[in-house]
Amino acid sequence: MFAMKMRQDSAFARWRGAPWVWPVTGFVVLWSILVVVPLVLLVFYSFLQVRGFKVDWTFNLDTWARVFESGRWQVTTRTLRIAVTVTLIELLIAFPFSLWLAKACKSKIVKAVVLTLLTIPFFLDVSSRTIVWRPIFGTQGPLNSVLVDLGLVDGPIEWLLFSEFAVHFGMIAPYFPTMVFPVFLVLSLIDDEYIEASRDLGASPLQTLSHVTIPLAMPGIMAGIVFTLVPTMAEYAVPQLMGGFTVNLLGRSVESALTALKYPTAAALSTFIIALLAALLAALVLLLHRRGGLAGVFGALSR
Amino acid sequence: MDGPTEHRQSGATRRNVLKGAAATGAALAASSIPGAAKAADNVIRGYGVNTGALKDWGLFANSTGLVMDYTETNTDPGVFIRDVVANEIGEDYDFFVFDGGMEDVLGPQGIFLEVDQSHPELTLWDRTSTDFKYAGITQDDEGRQWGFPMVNNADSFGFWPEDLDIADPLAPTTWEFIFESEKTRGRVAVDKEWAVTMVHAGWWLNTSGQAKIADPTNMAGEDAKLVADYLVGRKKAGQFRTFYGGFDEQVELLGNKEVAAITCWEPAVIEVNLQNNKEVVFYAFAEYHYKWGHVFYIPSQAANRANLADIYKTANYFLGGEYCAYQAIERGYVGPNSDLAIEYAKANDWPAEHIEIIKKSGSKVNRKYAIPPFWGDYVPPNGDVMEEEFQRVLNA
Amino acid sequence: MTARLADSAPDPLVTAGTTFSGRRWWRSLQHAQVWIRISAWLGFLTLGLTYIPIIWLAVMSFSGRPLSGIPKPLTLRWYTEMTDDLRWVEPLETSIVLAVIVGLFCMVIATAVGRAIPRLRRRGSVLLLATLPMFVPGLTMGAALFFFFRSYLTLKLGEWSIFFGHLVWALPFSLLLVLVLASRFDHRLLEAAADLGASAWHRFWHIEFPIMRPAIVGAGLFGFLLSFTELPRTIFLHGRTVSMPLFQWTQASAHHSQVPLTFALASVMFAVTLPIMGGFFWFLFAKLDRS
Repeated sequence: MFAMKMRQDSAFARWRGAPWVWPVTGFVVLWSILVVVPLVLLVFYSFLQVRGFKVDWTFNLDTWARVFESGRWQVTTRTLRIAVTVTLIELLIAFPFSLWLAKACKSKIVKAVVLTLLTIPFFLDVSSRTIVWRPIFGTQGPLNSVLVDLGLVDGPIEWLLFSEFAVHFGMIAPYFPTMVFPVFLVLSLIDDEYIEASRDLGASPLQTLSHVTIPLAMPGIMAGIVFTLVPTMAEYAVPQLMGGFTVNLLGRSVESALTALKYPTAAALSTFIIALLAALLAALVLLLHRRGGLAGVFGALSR
Repeated sequence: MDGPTEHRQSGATRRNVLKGAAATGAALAASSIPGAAKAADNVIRGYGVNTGALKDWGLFANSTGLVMDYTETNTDPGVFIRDVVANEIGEDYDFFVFDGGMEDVLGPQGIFLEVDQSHPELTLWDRTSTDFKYAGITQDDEGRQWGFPMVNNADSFGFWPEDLDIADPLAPTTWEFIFESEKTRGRVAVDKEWAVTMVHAGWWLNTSGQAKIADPTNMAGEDAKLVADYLVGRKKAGQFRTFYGGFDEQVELLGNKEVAAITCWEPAVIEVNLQNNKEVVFYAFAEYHYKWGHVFYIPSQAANRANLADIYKTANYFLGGEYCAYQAIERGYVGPNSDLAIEYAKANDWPAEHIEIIKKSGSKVNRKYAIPPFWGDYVPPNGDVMEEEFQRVLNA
Repeated sequence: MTARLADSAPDPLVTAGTTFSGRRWWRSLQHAQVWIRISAWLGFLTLGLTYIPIIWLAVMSFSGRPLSGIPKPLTLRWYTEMTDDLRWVEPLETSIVLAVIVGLFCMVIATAVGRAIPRLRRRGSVLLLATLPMFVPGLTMGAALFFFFRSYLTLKLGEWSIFFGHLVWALPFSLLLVLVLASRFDHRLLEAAADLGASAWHRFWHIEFPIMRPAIVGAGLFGFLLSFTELPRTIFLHGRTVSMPLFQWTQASAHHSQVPLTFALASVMFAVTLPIMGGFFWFLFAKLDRS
């Protein structure tokens, strides 16, 4: 027994070393060149200024001052708020749906069909998919006509379109698949034996859900949140088409600065949002500390 | 063709070197390739805005014997400057087409070639009226000629006459419908670009006497702040339904009656009428119009190219009747020699209604140009200030 | 072995070992059933929200006034315009080729790195480094890479720079997907195989790969899709190459209608990708069924 364990340990130690690490070191090097260096440049650039299309090379804080004075920084908080709201809505819809798809749905055909249906829209431009809502929600559109005819409202509702409501509505459908995929993946991995065992031990379905299923699904949920929150913040097309720029978001602000060649302003705004997200992430990590930290979530949860 | 005299409302400040903005660190000097003789084939390569393109370049091939390879870009000046200066695409292209105003920035820097007005291929140059030839958009502040005029137009806004209670849609109307009228409260759309909407607002404040803006196309700090404050006020009062982004949005907003008036491009009005099979919306003739023009620039790298003569031939083609006629039909825009367009249409037996359209474009433009207009500029020196102030409007 | 949450509930009156009374158990199960129904329907409703525009797009692509609410008059105008002006073909080809390459690279790199991360000691920091580019807005990342490649390295941009831009964008997504699966992977299987004398490649191909297959395929798929629709980084890094999203973006400022592209071409692409992706997933699930 003991001899076998020792052999196991050395075998384990043997392949613990070289082959695994090389890809990671290579990756770290590549990433540092491709990502870290340009980002450092970016932050550096935010401390410069642009006057009349020309870069002023004196290191100063004027760009930052202007971003805060003029209230431009508010786009970042507004964008974050909308992104978080949309992500929460997606989570609330996608998690039960993925649970149903992974566990309650037995037919492989249905799973294949649903996954196909979730993937295909990615091939189509998001603005094509969004622009069709505009005539429907417009003041002269069918929705308003029906509401007016039914006597529910006096005149056409204006806030259906070109408002925050419209922006939220427009973002839900495109980001549904990004939330479903990781959550579905992780849920389909959960051994049904756990759920049976939990039930046999007398837990109600709700207790099973909160004490067994959700903790086991945490990596997928975290991945889903990241997959949805992050692109939502950079989203540009949907806020433009549904919000009509009455809702000014980060994408538009950065693009507008770039048309005037104000690279330092764009850099400052972006650095600000990275800092905001870093703070959010740090808060999340602290919250997870009880469960073993961020790495712990992805770590050896294999059992 | 005699047109009215107009004066360039331009900022007196010298445009600054822009090299540094686009290329940080290692400054990229726009180099001309000495003595590089390009293989003399008959392909001519252009890079420019989509509006400058013909739908069918075969016409061009038939008229000049050259094959056109036109790469389209959009009207974002940041993209254009980055491509032309930092990416040095002048090495690969024979000509650029972009909105006027760019020459003030890039000409003195040596990106563009100062054009030779006496080149033998420019057969139509002498007969082109000076209003187009020497307009502010083809020359810089020191009168150096950097480009040739192509299409231009005087933009105003499209509207539904019955919504505005206008009996005669062709009569002169007012920009008040866009900015202040009760009849259009909440049913107006304006452009999302600061370079357009800020300028419109600035001119409206001047015309209505509410303020004195020195140069709406290039507003310094105080003026920009004033205009932005005014726009914020109008936005909060609910005057604007939305800030639109592109052509299809214009067609949709106007065609669906989502708005009663919209500061759009003329082809949008044409498209809405086409889809309705009758004239339902009209393009306004008002106190002032936003005059813009595309200009044909030659990169400095082409100075010693073998096909330089072909480049001038192409420029000459764009001054001519065929190009002008097709632009008039397709978009309602006007070229530098619209009388040649009428001649061309008659010579080629075009249907009468097309000839009518060309004539109407010409006369419309004359009417509009009779009012002291201003040339729009996408790259004014105070662009950064104007953009900043406009962000406040969008944030409000 | 697969238990079902909804059905096959043991007869409530005969349940052994449960501390609940039969009736309470039945009632709580009924609740669960209702919730399960609601979840499914809510999800399908959201899916519907995606497909209503697509179907509408297809229908309106035959309409003379596509941007209004009404499908009449019927016309093939947009389709003829789409086939008359074939400038969209080359950008589409470029996009597809680029997306396939990016997808493959993402798949390989994500797998190689993703399976290694759970075994590292410094897991957290590598993870953080890998996901860093996700938090940078696309335009800014594109600008940063542009300055880096063009100004500091003075390289001429082209397909290669778009490739790196897309890789930087898509790889974190692929990596996270692989990690989700790799974190549940039981390493003792590999230990056992090592003890039995299997080579490293053998261990990977016959044990790890089949289990990780959904994530690996998902990583490749994500890489493909993210690259295919990517715009902001491409705007900065494209040099003279034109991808499909870039083409549509430049056309958006044209003074003429983009309906042939946005309606007609989109409908055609939908009709083409539906059977292809359907076949792909069917194949995937059919294979999984057998193994």
